[in-house]
Amino acid sequence: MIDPSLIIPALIDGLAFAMLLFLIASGFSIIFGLMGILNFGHGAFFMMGAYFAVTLFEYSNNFAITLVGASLFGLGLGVAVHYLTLRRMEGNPIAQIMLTLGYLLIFSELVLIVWGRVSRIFYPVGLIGSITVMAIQVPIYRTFLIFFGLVIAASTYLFLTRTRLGTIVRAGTEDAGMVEALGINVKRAFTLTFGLGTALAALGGAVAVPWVAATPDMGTNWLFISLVVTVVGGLGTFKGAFYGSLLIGILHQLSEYFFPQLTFVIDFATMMIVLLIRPEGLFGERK
Amino acid sequence: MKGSLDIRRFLEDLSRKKIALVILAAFLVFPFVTPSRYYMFLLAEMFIWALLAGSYDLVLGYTGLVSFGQAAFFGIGAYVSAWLLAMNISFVPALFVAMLFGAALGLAMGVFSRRVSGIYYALVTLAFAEVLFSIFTKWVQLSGGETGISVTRPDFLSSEFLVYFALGVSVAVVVTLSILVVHDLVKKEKPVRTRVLYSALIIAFSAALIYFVPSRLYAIMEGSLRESRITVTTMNIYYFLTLIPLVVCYFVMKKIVSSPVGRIFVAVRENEERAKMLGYDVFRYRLISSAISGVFAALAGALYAPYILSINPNSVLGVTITLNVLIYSILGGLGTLIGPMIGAGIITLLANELPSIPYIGQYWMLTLGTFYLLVILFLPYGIVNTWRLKGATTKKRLWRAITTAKAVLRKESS
Repeated sequence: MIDPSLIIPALIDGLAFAMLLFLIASGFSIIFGLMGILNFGHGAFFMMGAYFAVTLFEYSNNFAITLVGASLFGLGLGVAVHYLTLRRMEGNPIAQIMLTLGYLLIFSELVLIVWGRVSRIFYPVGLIGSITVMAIQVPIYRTFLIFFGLVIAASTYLFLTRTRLGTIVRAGTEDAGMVEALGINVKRAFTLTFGLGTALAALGGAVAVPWVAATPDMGTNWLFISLVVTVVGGLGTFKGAFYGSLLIGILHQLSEYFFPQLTFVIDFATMMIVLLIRPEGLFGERK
Repeated sequence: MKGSLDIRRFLEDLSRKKIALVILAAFLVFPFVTPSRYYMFLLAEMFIWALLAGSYDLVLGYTGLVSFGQAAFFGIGAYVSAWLLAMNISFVPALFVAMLFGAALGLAMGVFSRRVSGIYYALVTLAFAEVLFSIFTKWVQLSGGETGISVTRPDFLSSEFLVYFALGVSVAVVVTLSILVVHDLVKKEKPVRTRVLYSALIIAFSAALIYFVPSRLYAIMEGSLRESRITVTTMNIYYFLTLIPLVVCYFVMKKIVSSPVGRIFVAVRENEERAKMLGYDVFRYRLISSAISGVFAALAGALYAPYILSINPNSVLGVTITLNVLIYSILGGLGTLIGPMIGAGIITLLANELPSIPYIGQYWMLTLGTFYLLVILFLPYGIVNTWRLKGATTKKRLWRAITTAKAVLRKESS
């Protein structure tokens, strides 16, 4: 049943998928850790990034510009959403969930109106096709995704540990009230962090397009899988998002290759088992 | 006489709820005054969603459990009734079987989420519902896959169905009545005579109802069909088939939330730790709440399947159902029971009416989404709660004005 020659391609796909998952899940997790917002609109930002990248690539025909543009777009959209609406909902988690769900609905509909129902895709020159290494076909774009994801993960890690805003974010995750008492404008840090999270999601959407194409239902699909990732890794932790992505990404692609019937069952069953045995997630801290 | 006093109080209670009674009466006579089958159809759909919203309020509004698995109950109810109908089993027994399935699923969900609370409860229930959804999507023989299965609509005009229908309604009425008085029955301070009287009354009434009503209703329906003075259409019956369970379930739920068990639900919502400290087994009450909610949600699903005639995993088990019911609850007001039902009515009406409005109708989903955002931003506590809050302050202000005026008058006269 299991064809051994498929294991390496499945692992490559798994790692590439894990990097996409990391891009969406890290922002999701940091936002939850700092502000306690379960951002159900996060998948929608991913989707908006993807569609924006499609249009940008049509005009610029330059992959680098597309990626930068999509992340800036995600940043702006996230900051606007948080500053204009989400900020007022502090301390009312159900209203926050509802509000972000509302954005999921609105963005999904907006995408249908602007870009239509058909899936959209673009191919960056030089990254398409595959090379043969030791008799195994290695798709270039997926390999690129793995390295790209690792670079982004490393720079996000450096940002969180080496910069002032990153320190505020980490401190705020521990105790936001205390940080505020130290005279730091936590509100602004909140807005910026939300924007950064959505920027990461939009970037993830943009790099995902050449592989999985932009579809109007991707907002919901990616939201749920990133939810699984963050819960498995530990909600609110950066480390958890990274390792959770690796675990779920590889598991997901392996099951896609070998048991395609069970893909989502395995994802959600993993999440349920983790929640039952270790409710705080594999890398979460016991409260 | 204590008994007569209670009856008087009951009547007073009823007279205080004039508006509710008038609305109920309006719903009851509606099919006989309008020929519009479209509105009957729409109202039946509203009743189904209202029932689902009410069941959700037990979990979210009263017990404070943010459950994201409500779609699982609804979907299992819909599928069970569809399967049973395909096996040529009558509709009313199918409804009860579906409710049993809902209860079992509610218990299972409660057991699975034993160790978690808060946002993690939401995630476990979501995972639970999604696992069920994935299984149904992949298991094509069971669910019909993406195309779904078509539901055989039970022959509502067959005499057998009418008998079952009447029997079901009678049982439901008896259950409602029993629940309405059973609390008084077990109350220790009531004299034994009153309790015996109550029990005897219930038993006699139930016996009479079950003995007389089905046969008589059958005769009435037969007669009216033959004379065709009142046209009994499928839609007509379907309207009542959704309205009556809604009303009955509303009263049952109302009774549950004001019973001691319901009070403990609220205690769990307000402060789980404190409820635990007071000696209540929080897990057990969460289990009860989840199971009861499962029963009503499965009933809503079971009613939905023959209404919509074709179901697939996405339309009855998908996460959209849960999101919709969340929106109904937020719009209407959590923890009010009637609020989420009103919310369900408003949203269903909007979703059906908006597409036919020129210009904005084209983008009705967008309009609806914007509407949600506005509601959440400006009415975060929902319609009913906001109305109660504002209503109370207005009343208080009026009262204060009156008392001040009186005091001023008294001072002037003295």
